Amino acid sequence: MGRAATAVAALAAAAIALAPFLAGDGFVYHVAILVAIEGLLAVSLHLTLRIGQLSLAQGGFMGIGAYASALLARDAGLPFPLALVGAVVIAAAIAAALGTVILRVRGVQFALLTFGLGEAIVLIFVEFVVPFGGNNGLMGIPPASLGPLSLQARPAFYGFALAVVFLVLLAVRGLLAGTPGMVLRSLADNEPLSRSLGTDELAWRRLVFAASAAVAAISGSLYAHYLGYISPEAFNVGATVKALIMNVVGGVGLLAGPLIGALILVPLPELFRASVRYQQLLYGLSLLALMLFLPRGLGGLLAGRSRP
Amino acid sequence: MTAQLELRNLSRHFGGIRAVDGVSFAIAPGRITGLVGPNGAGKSTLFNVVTGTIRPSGGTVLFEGRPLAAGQPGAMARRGLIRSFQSTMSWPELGVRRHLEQAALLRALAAPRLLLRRGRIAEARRRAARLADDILEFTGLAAVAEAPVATLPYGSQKIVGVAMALAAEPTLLLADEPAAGLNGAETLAMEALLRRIHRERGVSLVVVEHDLPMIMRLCDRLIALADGRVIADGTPAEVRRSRHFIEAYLGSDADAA
Ligand SMILES: Nc1ncnc2c1ncn2[C@@H]1O[C@H](COP(=O)(O)OP(=O)(O)OP(=O)(O)O)[C@@H](O)[C@H]1O
Ligand SMILES: [Mg+2]
Repeated sequence: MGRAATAVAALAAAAIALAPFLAGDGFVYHVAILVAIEGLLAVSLHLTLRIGQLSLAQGGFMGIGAYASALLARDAGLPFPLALVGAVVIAAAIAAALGTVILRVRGVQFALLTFGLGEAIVLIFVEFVVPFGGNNGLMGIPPASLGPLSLQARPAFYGFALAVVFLVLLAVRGLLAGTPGMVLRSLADNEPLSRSLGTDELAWRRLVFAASAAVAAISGSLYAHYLGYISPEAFNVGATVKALIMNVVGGVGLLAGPLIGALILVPLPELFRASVRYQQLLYGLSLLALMLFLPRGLGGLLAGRSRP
Repeated sequence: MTAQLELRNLSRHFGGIRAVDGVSFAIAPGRITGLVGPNGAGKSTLFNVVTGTIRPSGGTVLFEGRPLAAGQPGAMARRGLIRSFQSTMSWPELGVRRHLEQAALLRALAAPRLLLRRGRIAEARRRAARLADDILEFTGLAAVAEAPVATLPYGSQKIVGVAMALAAEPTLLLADEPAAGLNGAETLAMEALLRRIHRERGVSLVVVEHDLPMIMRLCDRLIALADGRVIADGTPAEVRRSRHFIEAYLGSDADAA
């Protein structure tokens, strides 16, 4: 992307991000918050795609983040920021530990393995009524706050979610565009060659997998403290598949892709609300058209040939 | 003195194919060793097993007295055992200099935890840049430093393959058919380059090569494989006189020619 194009894209992104404040409408805030939360899950999936692994367990990691954060805040009495950090650490640690084993598997087998893992995580929430509340989930999750600053009102929570998305994007960019990104790209472009020069591919993939779980956990924590209640089915494979569609629609090769996808797909059902009967059909047809005519996603239109 | 590289009864089977079948030998430090054998003898498979790229079906590999870590491709390379490939290998989009820098960086920053040490990245990048300049000069690639590797003549691409391995600072370099597909002049240049890598940079070499005159000039010891087994092992002159070698290798070669 040229400099001018980058500036225009940044301005457009800022305008879209700030628009809900101008609209000042409660429902717009609500949808915008969901875009941020689901967009984060899509970013987490994006990370696994960057190491050539489709992980269908990201919804599960979001769930781990949601339950951990909810329990740490509600039952252990931690303030929200600490509960959030705790949830991130727990999810990342679980992913790193599992990654050592499951990342040795590649391709379709990895997708299937993580499909099972995602379902197993949800099953654990269902089966272990203590502490996870079984099918009813958890209620009475304390609303988010930063010290004395309450984030309970939608504008405040949206502002916070926006800041989190921004920070996550910065961190992910640092990972993908910096020296680690160089290593990851060289692995993606020529694995035998990179390996022959000493690259510990498993360690690198594990790092990215743990980072992806961390981002999913952030999404889960925001979700839990925004809604105030959670139940297991919100984190099943369906959530991951939605995140995958966001990546495809927004463009898989682009860091902004998953967010562009979330921006389109989260509000979409609201647009078609008047024609609920055709909602699924219209949704399916739009996806089909996108994949046929824009194989690199909507983001691919803006990005030209460059990578993040 | 411990051997630099030791193989004990090493095997690798693919289904019914015994690509490597009970190979044992030990290589002292500071040598150039030739590895020859007809097509399909198991030479490349041997390199793949020794470098940890694929698991052995049986047996042991010791590099500088320590065994190969199972299931950790890259671990041997991090200890200084670097291989080059029979086919030309490159990263699309990168020029020659960037290939050498990247090779040096990948060795220096092999695992994420290495990035945590303060100043490590900046130091590794500076070092990689110096090393790339040095090796461009050393290999005569300086003139094409900025050219994308895929656009170079085949002979130069083969040199880039060896140069990348060199940028990863090996103590032992396994070169898989570095002269395959090269014309007479290019082969002589490759031979001279390998000799200089050994003499001037103190790197030990194991060279797989089909060009018998070339490999016999180059190495102090020759190991011949056929059907995954060692059929002759000694000085080039000894191996040339060995009956097994003449039957299995020259025999089939003469038929083909
Ligand atoms: N990944 C694999 N799967 C199945 N068989 C394999 C594999 N790699 C090698 N082989 C078989 O193992 C045997 C040895 O192959 P290898 O490539 O090691 O021979 P080579 O000595 O390097 O031959 P060349 O001189 O042609 O390069 C061959 O029969 C080959 O077909
Ligand atoms: Mg071979």
